[in-house]
Amino acid sequence: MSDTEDKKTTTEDTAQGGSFVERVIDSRQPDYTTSTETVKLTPEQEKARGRRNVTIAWSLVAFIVIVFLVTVVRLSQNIAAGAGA
Amino acid sequence: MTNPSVHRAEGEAVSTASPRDFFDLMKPRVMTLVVFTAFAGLIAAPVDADPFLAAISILCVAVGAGAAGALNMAYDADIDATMKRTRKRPVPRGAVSVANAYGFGVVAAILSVLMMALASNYLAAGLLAFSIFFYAVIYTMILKRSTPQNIVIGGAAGAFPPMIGWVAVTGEVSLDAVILFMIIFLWTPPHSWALALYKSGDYAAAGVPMMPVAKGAKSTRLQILLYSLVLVVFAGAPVLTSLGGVIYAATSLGGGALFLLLAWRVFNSRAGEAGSAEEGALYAVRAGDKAARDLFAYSIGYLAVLFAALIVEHAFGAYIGIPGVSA
Repeated sequence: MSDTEDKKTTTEDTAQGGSFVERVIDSRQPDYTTSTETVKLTPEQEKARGRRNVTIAWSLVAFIVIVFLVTVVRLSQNIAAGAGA
Repeated sequence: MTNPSVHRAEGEAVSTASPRDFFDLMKPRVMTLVVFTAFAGLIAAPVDADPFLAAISILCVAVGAGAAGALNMAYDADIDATMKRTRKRPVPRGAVSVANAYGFGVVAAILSVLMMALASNYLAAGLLAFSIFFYAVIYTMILKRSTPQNIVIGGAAGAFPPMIGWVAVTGEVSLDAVILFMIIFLWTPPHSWALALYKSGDYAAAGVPMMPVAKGAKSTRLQILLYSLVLVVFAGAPVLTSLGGVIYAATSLGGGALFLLLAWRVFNSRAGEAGSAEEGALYAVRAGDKAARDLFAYSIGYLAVLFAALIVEHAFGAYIGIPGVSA
């Protein structure tokens, strides 16, 4: 591409609102004005997903609490065993 | 502004599975017996365990058993869909996809084993991992569809829970733990074959070579009787090692006698003979199969009562040794 053609393209890009590179980057930005859902759920499916999410959340909380308590109990046992030795 | 590259489908391939469906994947009824026997093994062990860690260990056994059940249901979805007894399970019903069932099973298995290692010891965690592997891979994927000895060998998976309970608090596999394992191991064939006798049509349609399908009803009835004899005799072993006292001995004797009586009835019946359709309710039976149905139902109670006797003796201070027999 010659210098003359290059300048011509740049001028056209600017006239369309930004350079070619800027327009490519812009076209790849997520569209935050619409929902990110790619599938329309029926009310029944939304309800089921909600129930699963709540169950998973509570399961995770329970798991974390159990790991914490087990660690505390085991540490206490080990400290007591160490003190008694 | 909308993105034209995004395809909007009307609810396609989106699960409506509820938490209850995932819970059902874990075979809750089987899990009940697993938890009970694991608890018995834990209570009967001669160690004072921390109640909280013991409870977590039992929870791990329950989740591990459930994980094995989920993996079993994922792999056996094709068989389950053809059998009346199992066609309403979450996977064949379409409530949970096969991939989700596998995912759920693997995650539950990993978490239960890791938690067991944290709450008790590595040996118990290793046994739990092995029992899940044995049930999901050795039994479900290899034995079940290839040999009539499937539940004889595969029964080992269901026999591990009391041993795991025992090891969780003692840290070692002792003779008593092996005895508890063997009781369930020997109990599994007569229990499973009693069911298979009056559901042989279901198994035949699904192509599962259960003993009545592969060797016939008569041979199965004989093997049920023989295994029952061995089981009832072996069930007395805990008395010889002082694991079981007077209450256990009485339970074992009385329960064993009734077990043998029902097994004898099955042997003399025409249970499992061809010539009648298996229509009707879930556990509906032909008139000739009543003996097998009775043995199947009783066998669950027999095992539960045996382990309940151990719990009563060791948890409530009701243990009374038998003079001249117990060590």
